[in-house]
Amino acid sequence: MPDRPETPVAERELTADAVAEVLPIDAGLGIPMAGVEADEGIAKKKLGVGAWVAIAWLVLLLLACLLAPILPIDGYKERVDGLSRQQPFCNAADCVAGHPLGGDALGRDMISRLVYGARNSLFIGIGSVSIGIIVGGFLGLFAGYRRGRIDNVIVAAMDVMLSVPALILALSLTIFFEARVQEVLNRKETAGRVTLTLALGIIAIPTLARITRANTLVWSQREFVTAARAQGAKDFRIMFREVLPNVVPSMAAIALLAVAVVVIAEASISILGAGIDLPAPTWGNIIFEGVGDLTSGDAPHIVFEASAAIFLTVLSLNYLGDAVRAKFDVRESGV
Amino acid sequence: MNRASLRDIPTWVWPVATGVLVLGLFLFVSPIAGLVVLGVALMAAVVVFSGWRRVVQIFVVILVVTFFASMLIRFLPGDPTDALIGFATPEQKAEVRDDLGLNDPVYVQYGGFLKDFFTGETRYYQSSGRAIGGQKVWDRLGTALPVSLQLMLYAQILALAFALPIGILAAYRAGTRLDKGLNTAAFALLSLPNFVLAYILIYWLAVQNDVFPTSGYTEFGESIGEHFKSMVLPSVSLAVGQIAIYMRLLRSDMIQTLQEDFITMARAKGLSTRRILLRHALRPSSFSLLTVAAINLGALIGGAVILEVIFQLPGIGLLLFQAINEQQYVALQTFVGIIALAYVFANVAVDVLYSVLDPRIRSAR
Repeated sequence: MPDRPETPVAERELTADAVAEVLPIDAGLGIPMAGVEADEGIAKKKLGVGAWVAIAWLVLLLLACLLAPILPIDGYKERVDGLSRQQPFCNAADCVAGHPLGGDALGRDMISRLVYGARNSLFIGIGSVSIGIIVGGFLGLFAGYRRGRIDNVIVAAMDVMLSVPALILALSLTIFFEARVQEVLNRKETAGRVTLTLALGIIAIPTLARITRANTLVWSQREFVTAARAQGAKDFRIMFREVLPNVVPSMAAIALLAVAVVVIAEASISILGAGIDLPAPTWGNIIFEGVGDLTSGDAPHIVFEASAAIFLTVLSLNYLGDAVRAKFDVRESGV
Repeated sequence: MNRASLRDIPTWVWPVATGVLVLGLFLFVSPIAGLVVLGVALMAAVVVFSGWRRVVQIFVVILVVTFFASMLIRFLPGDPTDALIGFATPEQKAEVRDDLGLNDPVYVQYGGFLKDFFTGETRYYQSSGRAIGGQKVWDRLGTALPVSLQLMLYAQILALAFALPIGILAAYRAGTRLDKGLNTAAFALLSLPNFVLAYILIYWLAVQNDVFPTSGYTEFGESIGEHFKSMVLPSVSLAVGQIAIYMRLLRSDMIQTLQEDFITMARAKGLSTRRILLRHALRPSSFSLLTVAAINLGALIGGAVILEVIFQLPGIGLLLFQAINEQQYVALQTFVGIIALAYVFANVAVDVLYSVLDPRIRSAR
């Protein structure tokens, strides 16, 4: 294996190592991560129109998630008579009015399914990446700053974790942990959510640890760190007050991309039948339930609406992740 | 004194000879013998190119991965046999518990798992009749593995067939509107999960227009036309994300290469553009492509699992899915172990290939 990179992602040419570093979670999750390179064509110095559209979509989605209980939409379990498999934007006389995105096979409103699905999917996405940031970030910071034996042990552990395809690891953790978590939490739906968050959080750890470590290695060689040390600052303080703030931007870019990967991973695991138990909606569960109506040709909109939600969210997150990386790219900003 | 040494044999002889040997053993003697020779040859190559440390590292990874797989069953709460064979009698459960080594210490259980794993004795359990002694897991794997490999192979061929010309074109026309358009398209494709693409393709080409089957698999030997018909949609779904990655990568590498002096030189000599692009610029630009192909193996395996389930292709992904839904946790452990091991070995193989192609990274670590 090629030697590990010693420079931060931002300052390197696109070498093999840079690619390895930038393609996080190795995407065993079914989709490769976007942003193999910081691309001039897409990520501009100022936030472009595209970035604002992406932000708008994500903000809208987050608001809908937070306000779901007080929004004027049905509950996600509520069945409406005659709404079963109703096409979106249906104008015919026999359509039930007030459900612009149609209904699923059981006559539940698609809008409420999607909004409550977003709640679960994004909870899992943001929750697991937070686990990745906290645990992985700390490990990476520690390894990169201390170096030596601790570094070797942490890097070896991360390499082992990366040597199992991520989706397979997440899947087995989910299946075998779920009942255990249920024992502790005794509410089935919460337990499913927590299991997926934990499983995908564990997957996110090595990626964030590697990125943080690579950047920490460089920043801890800088003069201001030496200066802080000369002033007698403790290691802990240097790590968190001097090094960490400089590492945060690259972590943030990766975190955005990682949320996108986790959203897809959740959907993949649900399609494999191992996600949160039905009838709780996640975007993956909606697809899982709707596949029969797609292949029969009766109501393809169930799968397509959930797919569109996933696609738009992933696209927005990838776009923003790229933009953040380009913005903090030292080389490109000409410093 | 002029001693003949191994170094006098041209380098290309080694991989070719190994390939022929492995293939011969695999086809005519026994698949396991072929795999063993392949493993030994790989390790030998690793020793030559990367040194003993790397071999030790690989063995540690293999140990950890198989240990993790063998321990999964212990994570099930309470009595694992309740989940495994829910309706069986207490005597059967006791028998199964014994068979799994759940009454033994961890290392004994691990040993038993390894033995069954490598001798192919791991079996499915049955909740009625005799609990122990169902079908061998390897029997189903034998027919499933080729399907998975075919899917990944076709997807990889498709991806390269599209990514190479598009990437070269984008690099040659870098900065133009065409380049920007291709880039934007690639970016959008990267955000399109392969299962979403699969559903779009199924609805468009299988449900609305009856061009391809919605699902199912036809063996190559049965009917070549039907075989490819059944593989088109899954392969395309798997390939599209890869096309975007490869294309973007090749483009950025190629742009750098095209600024090198030897390209100017070639141009000054009056060589045709086609020849410069394909003969002079492509090879030095293709190293990161290879690396990413390795990193992508994980994505490829994960994607293949999902797509096999969506298209009902009887590969290892579908076996995994069935094992999840039938609560065949022991078979599931085996599949997880096998996929992880295959991934480790594929990565090692790419490492070796990489150092064969690029002598600079043959390390003396």
